[in-house]
Amino acid sequence: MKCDLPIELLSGYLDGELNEQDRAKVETHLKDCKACKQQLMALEKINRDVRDGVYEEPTPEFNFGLKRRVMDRIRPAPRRSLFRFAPIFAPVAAAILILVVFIDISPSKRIVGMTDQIAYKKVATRQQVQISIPEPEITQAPAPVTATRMAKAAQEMAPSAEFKEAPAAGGIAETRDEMADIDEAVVATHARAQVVRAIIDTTGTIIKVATGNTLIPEKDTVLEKELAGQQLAPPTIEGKKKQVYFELATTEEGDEKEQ
Amino acid sequence: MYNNIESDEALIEAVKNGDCDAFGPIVERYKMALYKVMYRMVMNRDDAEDLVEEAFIRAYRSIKKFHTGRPFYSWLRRIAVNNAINFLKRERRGSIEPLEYVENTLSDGRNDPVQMTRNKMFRERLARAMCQLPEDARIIISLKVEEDLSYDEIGRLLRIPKGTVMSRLARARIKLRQIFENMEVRNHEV
Repeated sequence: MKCDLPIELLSGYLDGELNEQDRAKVETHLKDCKACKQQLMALEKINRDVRDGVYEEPTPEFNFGLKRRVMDRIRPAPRRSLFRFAPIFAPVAAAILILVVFIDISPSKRIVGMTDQIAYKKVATRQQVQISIPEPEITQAPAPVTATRMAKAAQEMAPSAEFKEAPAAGGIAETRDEMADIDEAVVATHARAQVVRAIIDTTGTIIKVATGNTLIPEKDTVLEKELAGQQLAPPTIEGKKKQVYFELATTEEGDEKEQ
Repeated sequence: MYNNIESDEALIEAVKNGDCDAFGPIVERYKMALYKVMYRMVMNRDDAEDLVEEAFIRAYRSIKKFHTGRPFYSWLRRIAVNNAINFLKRERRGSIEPLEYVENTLSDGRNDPVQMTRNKMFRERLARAMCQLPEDARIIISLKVEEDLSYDEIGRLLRIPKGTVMSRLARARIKLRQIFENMEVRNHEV
């Protein structure tokens, strides 16, 4: 017997999608048609097999990470704030901090430079102080020692422990630790190339002597032994007795005579 | 914080009011159901997972259009299916490569190694047969078998008449059966 039942009706019957008339028609047909009955059973099996068999478990990343991924994508972007510049601010702030640390050091510990002289002048103007040292009774050093001096009030200028001596010519600033206890600087002009420097305490006694032909003469032990203890009149600056550091320069005889 | 006890309506209303965290339980609630539909449509695990994620994103962006009170999953599934159809049109112009099952993909739950092997081989052949189906046939079978949708629902989802659903589904079943039986014959011959 040739089966003329459309497969659509059989499929629809399987899914329960037929109207009353079509369903009755199919049911009647199935009673007599063994082939259609087998076809229906095959379609049911296909349904079942596909439902049960065609499936692959999702990955663990899907099971445990899908929600996070979706939420990451749908969450609005964080508001713009100053913190968004944090990657830039951090190194800049660190650089500024380093600069501040290096700049803001104590004046007593930093190296004296040209800028310090400028600042120095702003703080206090140099004072031209005339001091007079009586004629020493020094045989080696031709007397009298007449010197024009430019001095500065060291304590006013440099309140720290360091002492800065500025030559009158406006040259290089000079720092001497060993002069820490000296209150005044005296620079004497001299005619000779040989420089003789001495420290005279407030009583007028020569306590140290150095000689040489450079800006920084070396300690002259021989001359110091000869001159040590020589009593000069206590040097005064602005009427006050001061321990001074000065250069002795003997004037040429002719010059002296002229004076 | 939201939990899985909250109803769809409450969660969706919260999402509509700007609380995106309320979308988290929705994702957890429907991801597996959506994955099964997507998998049978594209027959590839990675693609199916991507499609599920994309479906949730699209649903979130269109949540204002969803009318509260209607079944949310149907709306979500419609988005996912449409997206998958577009994906298949865009990416899968040729035939699908037969998927390769990994050893522990499916839990057989049986202790008989011989039976387990037979079941595994059977599922592999069935999967290959599904892959050989035309896309429209595979999609309509997936929607009917996995989701048990009515012809009307499938027709609305695929935007085709109910009669077309009926005929297309019947032809898809016959075609799948033929492909599968041919595989069985070849398997026995080997």
